Amino acid sequence: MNRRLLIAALLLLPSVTGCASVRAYQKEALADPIMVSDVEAREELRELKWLEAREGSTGGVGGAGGGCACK
Amino acid sequence: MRRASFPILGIALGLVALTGWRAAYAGVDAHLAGYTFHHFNDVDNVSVSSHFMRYNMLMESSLSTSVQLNHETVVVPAVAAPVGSQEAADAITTASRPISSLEDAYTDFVKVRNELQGSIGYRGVEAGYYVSDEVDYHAQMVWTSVNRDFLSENLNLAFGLNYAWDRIEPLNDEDTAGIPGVRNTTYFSLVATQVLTPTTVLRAGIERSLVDGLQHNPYRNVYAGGGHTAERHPYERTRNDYFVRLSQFFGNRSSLKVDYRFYTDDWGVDSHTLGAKLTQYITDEFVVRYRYRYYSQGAAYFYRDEYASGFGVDGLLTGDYRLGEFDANLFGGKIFWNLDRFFEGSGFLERIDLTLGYERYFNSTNFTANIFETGLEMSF
Amino acid sequence: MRFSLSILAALLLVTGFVSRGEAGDEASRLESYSLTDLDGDSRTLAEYQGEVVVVNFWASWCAPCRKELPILDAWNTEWSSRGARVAAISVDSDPDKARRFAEEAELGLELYHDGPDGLAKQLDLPYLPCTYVLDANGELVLVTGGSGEEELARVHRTVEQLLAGSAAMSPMNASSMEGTR
Repeated sequence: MNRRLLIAALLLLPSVTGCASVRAYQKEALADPIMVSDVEAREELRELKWLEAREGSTGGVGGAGGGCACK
Repeated sequence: MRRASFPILGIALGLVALTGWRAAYAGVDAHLAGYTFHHFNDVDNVSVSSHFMRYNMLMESSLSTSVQLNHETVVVPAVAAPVGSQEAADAITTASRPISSLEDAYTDFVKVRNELQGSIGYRGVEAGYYVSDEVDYHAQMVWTSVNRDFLSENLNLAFGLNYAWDRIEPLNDEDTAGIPGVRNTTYFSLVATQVLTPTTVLRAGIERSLVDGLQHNPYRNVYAGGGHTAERHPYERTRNDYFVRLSQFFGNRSSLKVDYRFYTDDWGVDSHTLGAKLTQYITDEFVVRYRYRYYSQGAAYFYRDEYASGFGVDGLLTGDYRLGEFDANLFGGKIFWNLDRFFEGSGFLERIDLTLGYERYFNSTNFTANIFETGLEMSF
Repeated sequence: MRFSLSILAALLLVTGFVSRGEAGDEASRLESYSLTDLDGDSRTLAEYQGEVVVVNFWASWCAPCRKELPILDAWNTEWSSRGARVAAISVDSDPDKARRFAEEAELGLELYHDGPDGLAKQLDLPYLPCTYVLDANGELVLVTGGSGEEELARVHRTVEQLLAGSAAMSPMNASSMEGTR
C-alpha cells in the first residue's frame, strides 16, 4: 500500500468532503445517542487495553473529535 | 501511590457524586458519573476483572474536569500438567508469568493493577495525567489534546500528544534474569471529523508511537537450538496506524458505523482491522447494538515458529504468539437501557443508563475469549 | 491602490445593502409565517405588532437550548406586562419531544413547534439556539446565537433598550451577527 498516498488522502479528505455545509438545526440525527461517539470512545479505550495484550498492533481510537451538534 | 488508597478514593468520589454536589457548588453545569464492570476470560483460563469508575464535572465557564479510577485483578492459572512431566517443563519454561519455584508453578498468579487518570479541559484544549501501579510494572503518562471546529462546525480537527514512561521491575523468577528496565513512549495523533450530511459523519486519523526500552516479557524463555534462552525483542519500535470510520443514521432510528484501520511498524507487523456496529432503537428507552470485527496481521521479521539456535534472527527471539501471523474474529452484542422513568421526580438525576454486553473473540491460533461488560452511567 | 480601494468599497456597499435587504426579508418571514403551538393552535407573530418580540429557535436535543430556555421563560414573565414577549419555536422533528421537555422544565412562555424543514429552513438559521429580536414595528434589530452569558446579556440589553424607548437602533446593527455558526 502506498502509505504516503494514504496519508495525503486522509489529510485532504476534509477539503474534498467539506463542500456540504450542514446547519446546526439540521443535526438532530447526529446528536442522537446512537450516533454520538463519547460513550463509544471510552468503550474503545477499554477494549484497546485487552486487545493490545492479545494482538500485535494498537491504536485506531484517536483523540478528541466532534463538532457535530449545536453550540 | 499505595494500592489501598485506590478503592478508598473511588468510594470517596462516588459519595461526593451521590450527595448532590451540584446543589452546593455554584457554577457547575452538569455532573456525569459512571461505573463499568468488565470481565475477560480466555481459553487458557486467564481472567481479568476490571472496575472502572468515572466522574466528570462540566462547569458553566466551559471548564471540564474528569477523574477515572480502574481497579483490576488479573489471574494467571497454575500449570495444569503433572509434576515432572515434559508438558509441565515446557509450560514453566515458556511462561509469561513469574515462577520463583516449582511449588509456585502450581498456584495461580494473581496480580492487582490500579490506574488513576485525571484531566482538565477548556474550550477544546485538554491535558491529563495517568498513573498505573502493579507489583512489577509502574506506568505514568501525561497527555494533551487540542481540537477545533471549522466550516460552520462541520469539520473538527484534533491533535493529540502523549508521553509515557514505564518502570518494569520483574519479580523473582526461577529461570530468567529478571533485570529491571524502562520503557518510554511518545505518541502523536491527528484526527479529522467531517459532517457529510445531516445523517452522515466521516472520521479519519493517523497515529504514530515511538517506543524505546524493554519490550519483551522478562519472564519468558524461548526454545531455541535444543535449549532455551530468554526472549529478546528490539529496544525500539515505531508504530503507525491509519484509520477511517463512517457513521450513518437511518430513518428507522438505527445507525451503522463501519471502520477500517491499517497498522504497520518497523518490526514488520502489518495488520488490517475491519469493523461494523449496527445500533437499533427497540423502544425510546431500549437500544440494541450488534458488532463484528475482523482482524488480520502478518508476522514480525524476527518471529519464527522454531529457532535453529539461541542467536535467533539477528539476535532476536520471541515466544510471543502476538508477533506471529494470525487472524481473529470478534462478534457480540450490547443493550443500552435508559432508566429515567424509574427515577422521575427524583429532582436529582437527569439521566441514567444501564448497559449489558457480551462479546466472543477467537483467532486462528485457537485462542478464544469471552468478554462480559455491564455498566451504569448517570448525569445529574 | 485607488482601484483596489474602490473595489473594496463597492463590495462593502453591496454586502451592506444585501445585509439590510436580508434583514427585511427575515423580519417579514418571521412575522408572516403561520406558527403552530404545542396545543395545535395557529397564529402569526404579526398579531404581536406593537410589542417587542424575542423569537428563539431551539431543540430538545440541543443542550445549550435546554439550558437557555428557563432563563428566557423567566424573562418572559418579567417582560409580559411591559410590552415584550418571548416566542420559542422548536425545530425537533418530533413535537412530542418538545412537549416533553416543556413539561419537565415547566415552561410558561409561548411554545411553538415547526420542525427543521419549515421556518428554520426558510431563514437558514445560522446557529442553534438562534434568537431574533423584533422591535415594536416588526423590524429585526438583533440576531444572535449560542447560550453563553454574553449572548444572553446582549438579548436582554437589547430588549430593555427597546422597552425604555432608547435611541432608535438601525436594523441589522453591525455587532449583531455574533455567536457561532
